[in-house]
This record gives sequence, structure tokens and C-alpha cells, in this order.
Amino acid sequence: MARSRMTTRWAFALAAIAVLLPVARAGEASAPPRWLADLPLLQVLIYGSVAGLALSVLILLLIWWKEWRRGDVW
Amino acid sequence: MVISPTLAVQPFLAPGIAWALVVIFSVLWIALGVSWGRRGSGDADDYMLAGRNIGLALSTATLMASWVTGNTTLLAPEFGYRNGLWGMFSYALAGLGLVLFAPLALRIKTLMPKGRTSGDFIRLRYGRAAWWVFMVITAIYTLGFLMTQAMGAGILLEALSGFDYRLGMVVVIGVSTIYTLYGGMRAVVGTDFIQSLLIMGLLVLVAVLALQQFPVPELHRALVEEHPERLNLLLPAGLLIAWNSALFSMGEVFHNNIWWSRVFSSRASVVFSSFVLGGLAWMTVPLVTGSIGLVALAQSVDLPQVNMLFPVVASQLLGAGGAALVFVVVFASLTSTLDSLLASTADLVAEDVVFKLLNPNLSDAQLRQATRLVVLGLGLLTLLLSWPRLDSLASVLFFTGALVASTIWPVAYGLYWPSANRWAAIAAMVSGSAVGLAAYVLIAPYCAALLSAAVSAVVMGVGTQLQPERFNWLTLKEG
Amino acid sequence: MESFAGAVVIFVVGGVVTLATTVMVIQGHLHWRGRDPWGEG
Repeated sequence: MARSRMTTRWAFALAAIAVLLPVARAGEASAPPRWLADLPLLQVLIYGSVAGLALSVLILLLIWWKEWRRGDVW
Repeated sequence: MVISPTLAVQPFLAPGIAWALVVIFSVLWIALGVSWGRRGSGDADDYMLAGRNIGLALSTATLMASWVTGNTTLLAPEFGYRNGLWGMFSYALAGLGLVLFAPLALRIKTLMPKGRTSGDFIRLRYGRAAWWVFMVITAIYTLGFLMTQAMGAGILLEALSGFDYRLGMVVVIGVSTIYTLYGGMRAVVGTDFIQSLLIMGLLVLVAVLALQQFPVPELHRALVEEHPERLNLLLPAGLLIAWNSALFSMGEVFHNNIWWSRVFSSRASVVFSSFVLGGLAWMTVPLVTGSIGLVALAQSVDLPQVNMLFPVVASQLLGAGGAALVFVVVFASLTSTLDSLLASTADLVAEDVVFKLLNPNLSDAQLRQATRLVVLGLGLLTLLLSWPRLDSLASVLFFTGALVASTIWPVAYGLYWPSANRWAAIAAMVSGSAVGLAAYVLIAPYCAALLSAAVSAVVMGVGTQLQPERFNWLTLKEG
Repeated sequence: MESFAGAVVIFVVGGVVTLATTVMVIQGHLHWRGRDPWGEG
């Protein structure tokens, strides 16, 4: 890996921390902020995850079936 | 790999029904496992790695089933119930370990066509000294994992059906050991396929019914009114634990032979896809079960204890059948994780210690026999160590995150860059583990994996920059 | 460490470490695509 890429990566990491530390300290002065997830976000999360799991089952069965027909399961 | 240690006040399932289910499924797993085990060529390689050619369906399913432990279905709803969205997110990020391992898996499969274990890689890539450090880390982690799963089995079956703790443990370890012993990796992979479909199918069913009964708009309204912190995306407790599961899981997956043995067992053309699909599919599980936890919270469901949330909700939605289905899923989750642990750990011990370290002239038949003996030995050892019930074991064993996270960068760096330095790898594992353990004790458990990975990454990177090697990749090809 | 500020610091550090690891793996993967896997790289 080129030295320059390594250096860039760690510089970025240190810069991120250097920027965020003062911001974090400033945040201590007031009550912790809140960001409540709204309904659309909750819907996407819940329906999306259930749909994703259901789709995973179907995809798995479909892949198995295609491989079984080809004699490729094992 | 976490367990919840508390007892149920009353079993959810009548012991008679529970016994019948245990007998039916035990006979099924053993019969299938033994029969699949007979398919192979009969040599050690086939016993350990199922012919090195399993397809995408079986590869993906075995990853899913192995990563869904007995407690994923019980603890993840509790995370949602107690910690809301951040509990669910942080748990789900444990799937990142599988997804990110996909490119590494492809590289491993390409570089090591005759490879058998993660130990083989470390020994060939970094030398014997690094291998010793690595083996200490993996031994502590794997033993802890075996014990928590075994104890979890006893505790969960007791909570669900009133089985005596030791009896439940003996049954689960016994069944898993028997079919793994006789069927090897083929038995593990084949039974995992059915177990993963059972687990995923039931979770979808319960989730759909729960959301039909309590739609998301009502859920959101109830949470905003009564439990707004569960929806708070800036919850400090959530931010603190957010990346712990991700880094812990990367450490677990990148180093442990459970996942490396899947790489060597799978067909080369499917290995990348299986880890991506398995990881993404797995990530939906904590989100789905966490959602069920939120529904239970919003409905103020009466819970004797929080970790029984999933069985309670399933029983309410599906009646007595629901409790039975939960029992089947938990039993499937337990056996699917234990069989993977037993098979892959036996492969590691037999290949790396018995064969390569102690008896380099072992014949193929002797290696196969040694592997089988190690499976049996591990099953018995697990039973022995788990015999005294230690309810606080799981929380104590969180410290293994500090150890395994230190292996992330040595493993990944070593696979991609010929310059990765062996002494840097050793220093990275040792310093990462030390700092991680110190952080665990002196700061908080959620810092352990994070600081371990960070220190290990810096040491690996700096050490390699200072003294780059020129590793010959063909060394790995020889096996 | 339960304060919001402390939580943000831990969150950012964890995110950076995770991101750095992800970038390293992806870089490695892309580097070897189309190359001889046993070559000098």
C-alpha cells in the first residue's frame, strides 16, 4: 500500500476527532439533544426488515431449488 | 453469543410437549446428519470440509444458522424493548462482520486451495510465533463461546419448558455432538439449512401477525406518548454501544475457524455471495425481533421477565402452537450454532495441533479419526465446564471482544499486502488485546473491542511501514 | 461517560475505526481484482 494512502487515512481520522471533540465539549453545556424517529422512518425500518427477512427466505429457497435441479447443491 | 441468565417463573410449554419436540427433532437431526455424512468420499478433507464444493444455498444458510445463536431470538427482542431503535441497530451491526468478510473469503479461497483452517493461514503467513499468539486468542474465545452456548441451552430450555438445567444442556450438546461426530461438516451444513429456514420462517410469521394486530402508526403513537426515549436516535447509551457489535463481530468472523471452514467448504464461485447474502439476511433478524420487542412495550404486555418476551408474544398471537414453535426455533438455533462450533474447532485442533504441530506424518485416515475424537472430546469438555451453572459467565466473557478485535487488521492486512510484517502482527494482537482488556476493566465494556481494534490497526500499519516484508504468496498455495 | 458529549466521542471513534477497516478491506479487494493472486501486487 502506498505510504501516502496510509498517511491520508490516519490524518483523516485524527482530523475528525480534532473537529468533533470541541463540538462534543460544547454540547455538555446544554441538555442532551433529542432526535425522535418519525413515523415514515419507523415504517421503513420495520416493514423493510420484515420484508427483507421474508425475501431472504424466498431467495434461499429459490437458490436451493435452482441448484437442486442442476444437481449442484453439494 | 450473549446469554440472559434469569429463570422463568413458569414454563411456557408443557414439559410433555417439549419432550416430544426434543425427541422428534433430535432424531431428525441425527438421522439426516448421519445420512448426509455418508455422501462424501470418506477422507479427512471431506469429513472436515464437505468436499470443498457446497453451493450457494447451503453456504448462505449455514452462515445464517451459525450466526443466529440461541439468544438472538430471545435477547434481540429484549434489546428493542429496553433500548429501542439503538438497541436494534447496534445488534444488527453484528452482521457487518459477515458482509465485510466476503472479499476476504474470496481472497482466502483463491490463495489457499488446499487450506483447511485459519491457523494454517496465520502459521504460513506470519510464522509459528504469531500462530501461538493467535491460538491463545482463539482458544479463549472459542471455549467461552462453547460454554455460553451450552449454558444458554440449559437455561433457555429450563425457562421455556421446565427442563432441568443440566438435562437440557446434556440433550443439546449430546444431539449436536452425535450428528457432528458421525456426519462431519456435511451433517453440520445440511442441518443448518433446515434450521435456518425454520428460524427465519417463524420470525416472519410472528412479526407479520404482531404488526397486523398492532400497526406501525399506532406503535409510533404509543411510543412517542409513553416511551419516547426508545425512538431517540441521539440516545447517549445507544451512541456508546453503537459500533461495539460491529467491531466485535468483525473480530469474531475474521479470525475464527467457524467462518474460515465455511470458506474452505464452499465452492469458489459462491463464497463471496454467500457471505454478503448471509450477512444481509442476518442483519434483518435483530431488527425484526427488536420490532416485536417494541410492539410488546407499546402494548404493555405483561412479562414475567424481559427475556421471555418473544415466547410470550408468540403464545399470545399463535396460542399454544406459538410456544411450541418458539421452542423449536430456540432448539434449532442452539444446535445449529453448537454443531458449527464443534466441527470447526475440531478441524482446527486436529489440523493445527495434532497434525501440523505434533504428528506431521499422520496418515489421512488417522487425521480423520483424530478429528472425530476431538469432536467427541470437545463435546465432553463443554459439558464438563458448563456443568456448574454460572449465570454471570456471559457478561464476564464479553472481554473476549478485546482479544478477537485485535486480530482484525493482522488478518485482513496479511491477506492483501505482501508487506504486512509478522512482528507487527504479533505486536498488534498483543497490544490490541492488552489495551482492550484494560479498557474493559478501567473504562467500560463497550470500549474494549473498539480500542483493541484501533490500537491493533495502528501498530499493524506503523510496524509494516517501518519494516515491510516481501511475502511470497505461493507459500500459502502449498498448504 | 454517560454524558452526551462522551457518547458522541465514542460513537465517532468507533465509526472511524469501522470505516477505516471497511476502506482497507475494499481497497485490498479492488487492488487484486484482475491481477495474478500470487503476484507481487
